[in-house]
Amino acid sequence: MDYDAELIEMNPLAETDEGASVALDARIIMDDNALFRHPEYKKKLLEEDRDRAPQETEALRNDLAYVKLEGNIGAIGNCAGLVMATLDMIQYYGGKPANFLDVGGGAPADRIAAALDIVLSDPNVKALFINILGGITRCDEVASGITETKKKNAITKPLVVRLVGTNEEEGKQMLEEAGINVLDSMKKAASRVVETVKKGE
Amino acid sequence: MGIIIDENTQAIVQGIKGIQGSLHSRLMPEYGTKNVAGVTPGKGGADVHGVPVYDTVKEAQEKHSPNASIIFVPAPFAANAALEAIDSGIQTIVIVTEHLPIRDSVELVARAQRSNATIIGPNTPWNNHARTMQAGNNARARLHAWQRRHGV
Repeated sequence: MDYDAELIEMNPLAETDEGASVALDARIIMDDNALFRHPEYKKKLLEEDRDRAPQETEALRNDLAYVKLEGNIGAIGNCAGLVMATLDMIQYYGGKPANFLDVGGGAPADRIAAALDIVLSDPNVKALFINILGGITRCDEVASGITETKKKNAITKPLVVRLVGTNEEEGKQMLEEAGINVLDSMKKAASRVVETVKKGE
Repeated sequence: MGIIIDENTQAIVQGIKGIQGSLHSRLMPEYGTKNVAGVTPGKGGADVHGVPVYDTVKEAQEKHSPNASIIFVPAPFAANAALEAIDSGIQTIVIVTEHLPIRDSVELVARAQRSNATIIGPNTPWNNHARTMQAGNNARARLHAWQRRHGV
């Protein structure tokens, strides 16, 4: 309880001649959401030299949920369910997602920019699909993260944006002024990003 | 369980001075939600979109007798905010905040059961009584979607 552990597995457990029990090995899974109470473990997690893609370490540092996959279409969305649906939709139209990236609810512009940097730094990514259904997330914040990145000329790959929800009018206007086309339909956006990649091949 | 929220629900918003709390306390009334007060410790006496702000839920409870609270408080403090609402006798608590630690949620649900309070969430996007009341976020987008679908 004190360590916010979700699971503790002790295996093997040995009994000494004196009758005491000793755990010879253990595996502990901690609740990621409680890491704010245990900064020392978060530090350790970042320092540890594990079998992790550079994008995954960068995501951990920015509190983004990122999983590297094997395809070539980068995906960014704002909640785990929506990102999973996005990956399914990319597959449905014949594409292969390069990653799962959930920016979480209420992502401010700098977190969106960090997410873009992470996905674009993956050499496998040929095009990027941003799928936002704004509830707590504000479309104008998302748009400003995207336009900031574009201003730095850091958007090096084709980009498809689907943006609806809270403050969508403001967000769409900002993106259109920056010359970025915005779609309402997730289906259309998914099929467009797959087409874009196929054309480039 | 029946209907938890409807047009008679009088809601307070905990975390009303925050970015999310303030934005959604403006959007929710557009859907018909009756926000009677807000709470942010240290910001008592302020006013957000015409709604008075108090330091504690107890104060808001004494002055407005709300029967629901909608929580937009960051994860490290959200469980305490909900416990404060339970202790003030509020029976319906909607926690929009995501990423609450499991330990906090477990304690919260146990305390709510003992007080016969209903917790919706954590990490709930909204709950909606069609066309009259919306507790949580996304009110305007949902309203627009509904209008588009019905051609009004």
